[in-house]
Order: sequence, then C-alpha cells, then structure tokens
Amino acid sequence: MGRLVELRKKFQKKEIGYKEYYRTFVDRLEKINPKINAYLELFSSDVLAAAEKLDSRSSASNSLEGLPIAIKDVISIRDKELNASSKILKGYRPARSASVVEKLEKAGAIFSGRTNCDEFTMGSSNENTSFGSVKNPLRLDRTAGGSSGGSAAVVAAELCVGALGTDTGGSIRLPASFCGITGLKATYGRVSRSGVIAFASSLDQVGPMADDAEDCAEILKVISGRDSRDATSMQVAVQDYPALLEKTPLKGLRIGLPKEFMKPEGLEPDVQARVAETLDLFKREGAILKEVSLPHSEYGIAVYYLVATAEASSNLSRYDGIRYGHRAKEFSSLKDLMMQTRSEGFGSEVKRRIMLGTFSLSAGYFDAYYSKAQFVRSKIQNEFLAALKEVDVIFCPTSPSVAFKLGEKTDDPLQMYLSDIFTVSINLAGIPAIAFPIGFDRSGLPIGGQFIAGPFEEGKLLAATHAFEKAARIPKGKLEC
Amino acid sequence: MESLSSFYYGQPMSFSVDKVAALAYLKLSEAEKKTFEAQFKDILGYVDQLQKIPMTADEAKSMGAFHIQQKFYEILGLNFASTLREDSSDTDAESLLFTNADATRSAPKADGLPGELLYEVPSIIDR
Repeated sequence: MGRLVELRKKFQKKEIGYKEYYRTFVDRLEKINPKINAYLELFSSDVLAAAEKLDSRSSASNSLEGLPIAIKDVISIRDKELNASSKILKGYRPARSASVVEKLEKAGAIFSGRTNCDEFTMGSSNENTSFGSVKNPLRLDRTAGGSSGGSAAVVAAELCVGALGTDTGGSIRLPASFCGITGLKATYGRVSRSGVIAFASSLDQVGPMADDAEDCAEILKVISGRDSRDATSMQVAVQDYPALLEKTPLKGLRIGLPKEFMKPEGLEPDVQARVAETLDLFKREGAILKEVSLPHSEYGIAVYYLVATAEASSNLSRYDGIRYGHRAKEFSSLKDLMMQTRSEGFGSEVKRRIMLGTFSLSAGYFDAYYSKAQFVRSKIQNEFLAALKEVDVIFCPTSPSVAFKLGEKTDDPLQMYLSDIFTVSINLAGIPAIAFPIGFDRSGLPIGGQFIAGPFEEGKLLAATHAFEKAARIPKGKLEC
Repeated sequence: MESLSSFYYGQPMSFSVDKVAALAYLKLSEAEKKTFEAQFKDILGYVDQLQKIPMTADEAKSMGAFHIQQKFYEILGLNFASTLREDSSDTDAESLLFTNADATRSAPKADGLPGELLYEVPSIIDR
C-alpha cells in the first residue's frame, strides 16, 4: 500500500487528525526541502488553514480529501506564481487554475507546493532551471532526473503523498526511475492540458507520480477525462482505475520484449542484471514473454528533437516581454524589446531548442526535417500498435543508466538527449506507459522498468504494475536527506 | 514519384546561428554563438540519420502535427466530429471568460486605470 491510500485510511478512521498531521508535515517540509531544492514554493500557510477547516468537518467523502499533492511548476494554480522554472515568467500569476488542478481541488486534495522542473520542461536532469538543480533525495550528488525532477524528489523524500508531473519525452518516467517511485504517462488525450504551459503540444501529457501503482490509480482517476477547454482531450470513458488493480494478474499476461530496447550493450551492467531478474520473475509468475520488434524506434531521439523543438519554437514565441513576467529594461524598439527580453529570460537549453525548432521549420528545410520527422513518427506509432496486437503490454527499462552525477552531462546536450532513448518513442506514438522500480544498483541507486500499452489502456498498465509490485516486493530506497 | 530523401540526403546543411537566432527573436553573445555552433553541428549531424528513410512528396504533404491522434479515433471507432463542442455560447467553455479583474491581475500595472481593462505596456512609439 502506498502512502496516499494509507494516509487516507488513517484520516478516515480518525487515527490521526488533519491539524496534527499537517503541523508535523510542514515542519518536515521546511527542514528537508532546502537540502534537495525540490519545491520552489511551499504553501505552508494554505496547508495549515485547510487542515484547520478539515478537522472541524464531520466526515470526509472525497477520494483525495485532505491529502497533500505537489504540483509541477508548469501547471496553473489560480493566484499562485507560475514560472515554468524560468526567469522569463518571474512574477506571473495565472488568472485561473488548470483543469487538472480544479479536478484535484474538487476531490479534496491539498496542494503542498509547486515543484521545481527543467525550464519549460526541457531537460532530463532538472539542471536546466533558473532556480537551482534538484538533488536526488537518495543520493544528493545525483540528478533527480527531468523534467519533473522536483515532483519525483518530493514523492521520494515523503514531502507529499503524490504529485503531478508532465511527460513530453519521458519527463515523468525518467525522474520516477531515478528516484525510485512510480509515474504514469497517460495516452495523449486522456488528461486535459488546459492551463498547463505548453512545450510541445502534440506530445505533452499530465500524469501522476506516487509511491506505487495503487496511489497513481487514485490520482489518475480524478484528473482524467474529456475537457471542453482542451480540444485534444478525448471523449473516452474514464475507468475506475483503483477497482481494476486486481484484474490483470501476471499469470497469462503476454509481455512483449522489444529487441531494440533490450540490447545488453546499451545498458549499464546493473540495469541489465535487474532487467534479467525482472524477466525471470515474470516467467515464474506465469507471464508469457514474446520478442517484438520496433525497428524505427532507433530514430526516436532524432524524430523527437525535431518535432518537439518545432512545436516549442511556436509555443514559446508568446514570451515577448509584453504579456507575461520578465521585461527587459533597456531596449531601442519593439523588436529589440522582444529580443532583449527573450535573450535575458530564457536559459541556454531553451534557446537551443527554440533555435533548432526554428531551423527545422524554416523555408528550405521544412520537408527534410519536420515533415520527415512526422513521417517517421507515424512509422514508430504503427510499429507499437502492431506489436501491441500480439501482446498485452510491452516491457523495457526506463533508462539505460541509474541517476547520473549532477553536472556530468550539462556540457554535451546530445548525450543528455540520449538519456531519453527508451521513453521518447512512446510519446511519439501517443500511447500510455508507466515507470516503476525494479531494484537497485550495487550502490543503492534505483533502477526503473516500464510497461507500455495500447491507447487508453491505463487500467491494464496499472494492474500489471500492481501485480509486479506484489510479486517482487522491491523495498524503498534509503534517503540521504 | 520524386523521393524527397534522395533530393536532400547528402546535401551540405547550411546552418547560420546568426540567421536562425534572428528568426527566433534571440540575441546571442559571441560566447553563446560559438558554443551553439559546435553543439548544433553535433545535433544536426545526429538527426540527419532520418534522411536515410525514403519519403515521397505526397507522403510529406500528408503529415500534420496531430495525425497521431487520428489513429486513436479509428481504433476506438469514434467520430472525430462528434467530439467537437457544439457551436453554441451555452457551453462550459464560457467559464473561460475572465472578469476584468481576472484579466488584469498579471498586468504590470492595471489598478487605477479606467475600468481596469487596460494593461500598461512600455512606450515604444518614439524609440
């Protein structure tokens, strides 16, 4: 049982009062957070005020009543500052909340704070932020992964019971893997993006990050569904994910193993060993393993960094110093004001990606880069969907390595981009995937695996992960903070 | 049919940091230009592997940003048009409309201006 479900039970049985819990919670938050820099802002006074009200209520009926949930700093909360971890949005306060935040509020959640992330979610290590890198709570000299590194770190460090992240190319799953927690990227169209700062609109998805599949199921059930404010959210019935958890045992489950993602030479030895042990466990539990092939996935990184940057160059053109946040003080014309503001406000990685996207959309290169990338993207999607006709889920590692050292890859963007090699193809295909812990390396750093399923099969993913968790009983990592 | 790949593959790329930065409304320092030039060489060299895959001009034309989601409508047997909002003002999208106070909350200066509907923006006309 994860801490979300456990805490809910304690509140419901009145084993602990809200005020009592939150007094200790806030003390801990304020003591631990400076060590890992995971929250950019703590909502301590809001939390204590909400706890006061909750204690005076007679009963709690909502599914997330009084539970502390952290929100990534690209998801709007009315009247709270929203920066996307960028100087360019300093001081910006959205006029309304994102649809997912409204849904969580209706379900009774209490927002513990907004979490650090890579600037405009562009990064794999949470080092591209204007507010200092997030440190991995299990090893303070290591990255927490990105871009939802703050959300992963606060879950791992027990500074909330669940968090929202966003995943454009692996931004929920990679940090979940590096911090030893569970994170789900939903089908494109499952969760509304309204009120979420856009990086790459055809790839971005909001998703839950928590201790385990059961806790993720509780959050996903609340945030999913059609939203008239987001035309890409789809009219597909939301399943009762927590009720489905026992419906997919490992026995008889057909698990596809993509040969392109399982090459031993592409994995660190300890990752390779934990993956082999996981496959052994699947077999022991009666799952049917089958090799599948995704030949175009080898082009995933190249496709992703053309499609995502093209969309980013368009989405980020709105940050011009006129409407939001930072504005340059020195300028000579309107154009100069915009250029100066953007140059001062954006960090290096954001500039790099805007320029790459601008180039791939520019006259003479559009077909060779952007259209070609979209064409290969279709092939990647077709291969995933064909493979998923033969199996129930696909399994592969989340990352070829454990959490790397802070600063290790910051000078080499291409090496950093390759960290996402096992995650980006899934975003390109638009299908759901869940990252979960499968063990540790010899130094105690977590290693993650992921299940991938067909569109809108989040229930199957959560249930398969739940079955694995019960069989494997992977312990939690030891915190260093 | 002409293959776009055969046309582009192997052609030298012309990437000018200055030109692209100007298109992107960015001013770069000399140090940034130098760093980006080297990094873009690596990145574009890497993404150029896509040119190995043949694509016709007709296939190129059919690629839209959201074509990936169309497949889901097909798989689930959903009619894309049926998921669009009705053409009516009586929808919950109306809740997107802000009050004057909401709309001006993030403006650098709005208080005290007539009707609170005006944002203050920097004067650029005389510059």
